[in-house]
Amino acid sequence: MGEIKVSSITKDYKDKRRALDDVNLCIKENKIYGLLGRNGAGKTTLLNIINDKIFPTAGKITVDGEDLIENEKILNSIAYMMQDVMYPLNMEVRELFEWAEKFYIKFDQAYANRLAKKFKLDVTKELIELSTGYSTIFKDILTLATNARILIFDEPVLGLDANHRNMFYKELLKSYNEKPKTIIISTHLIDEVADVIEEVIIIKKGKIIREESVDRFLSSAYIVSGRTNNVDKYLENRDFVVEETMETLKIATVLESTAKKSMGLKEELKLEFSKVELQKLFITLTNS
Amino acid sequence: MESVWVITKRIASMNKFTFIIYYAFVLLLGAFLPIGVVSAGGEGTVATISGGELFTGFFIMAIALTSFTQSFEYTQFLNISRKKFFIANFVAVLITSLTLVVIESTIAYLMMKIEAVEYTSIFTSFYGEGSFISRKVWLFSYFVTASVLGSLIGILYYRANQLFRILIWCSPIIAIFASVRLAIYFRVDASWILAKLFGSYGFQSGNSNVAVLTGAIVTTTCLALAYLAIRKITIKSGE
Repeated sequence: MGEIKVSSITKDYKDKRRALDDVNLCIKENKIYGLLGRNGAGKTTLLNIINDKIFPTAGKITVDGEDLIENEKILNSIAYMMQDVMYPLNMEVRELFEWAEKFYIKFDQAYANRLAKKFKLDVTKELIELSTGYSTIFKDILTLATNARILIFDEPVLGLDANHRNMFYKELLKSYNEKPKTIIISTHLIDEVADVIEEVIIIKKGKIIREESVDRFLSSAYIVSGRTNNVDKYLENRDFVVEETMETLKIATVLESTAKKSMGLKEELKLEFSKVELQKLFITLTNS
Repeated sequence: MESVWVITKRIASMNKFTFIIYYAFVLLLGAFLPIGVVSAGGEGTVATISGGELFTGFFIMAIALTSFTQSFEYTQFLNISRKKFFIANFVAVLITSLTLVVIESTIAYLMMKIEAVEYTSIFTSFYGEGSFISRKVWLFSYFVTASVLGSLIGILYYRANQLFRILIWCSPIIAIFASVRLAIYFRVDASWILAKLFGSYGFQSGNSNVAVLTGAIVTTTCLALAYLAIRKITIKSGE
């Protein structure tokens, strides 16, 4: 339970801007996804459509085979941590927890309060009094405590310090391990999320350019380094992106499966191979 | 249905402080006006108070209009369907209107108890004394119509772009101007239009039931339009 199918979704805005272009996705249940893309790539638009907040120009979204639009049962099984402030700012944190309990049938108030204590979030404060970081923490806690079978986070660590970010990832994984669920995280802090996500979706200019497991994604490229002329020789007839050139040294990302690495050439040209990082590969793919 | 009731309670309670402030002001006015009049005019001077409910109607319409964004976005934040929000919003309108009828009736009762005040309700001014039931039904109908109209404008305003928003604000002036121009063009007697308008509210016949019926028609029309508009409403942020 918790499979989301995105079929041929296109979204055109009134200003003729095409935010999503024929997007097809199958988000499998009980997996953690990272939705990655540059600013304006269409991440939030896609998440808003998956959450029935805005409507697609064309296409359809189903959750466990059921149409999403205005589907009360499905909507109650999704918790969406939005970037925007969509709640009355004069409400106290605890008040909003209490209200959430009334709408989300599985909302765990005790867990929400425990997390608030852990993150040092004062539940007696009005939401308007919270800093950007604590506003994010509040939304994160609320989303986690819903116990919904699909959790969607849009920039869940925005404004959080390193300690809080680490705490959030730990709590997220703890919650996932205790009760597996489908999780989608949209973030720009790719390196941090690399150890959390299992699947990666890369969106570029409204199109999905990659949708696969992180392992598979990372095995689709590797880094080669060595003397410039030797690296150049290795790169002949290969798809690559140069990362760095320092006098006689050169580092490049080779865009081919790690299985295709030429060990013979490596020995012959005295080159070094290394694993590509998620963020580096993401930058390489989305910069071009 | 339970969740509809929960949302209803939330929407209905959202503006309680605004209403408390409003009625605190009304009560203060009600208390100080007679004192002021008597101290200025001497013993036996009477202050005439009328039109309170009419003003409350405008107030509730403004509240419904301005609070739409907050209540809609809040329910969207909690992933509640538009249909459920629409139903809950209407139930909240009914509950709020009923509460206001009770409050207004209590205020009217208190005002009539003050010797230095001559209190005339809007109902009495238009339709005479009438029965207790007809007075309350008329007031309830008036408040519901005002709220639903306010909600409809709120929905349209939320959906509209900048230009359309300006048009919404200017619409009363545009409507009056257009009506006058059309009346002149078709050579329609203005007094005939006013007679029809007053007729539809039972002012001439003194029959408040006509006004209630007109209110029901306006409310139903507004609800239908609001439902059509809300079915395809999207959040404004994050686009």
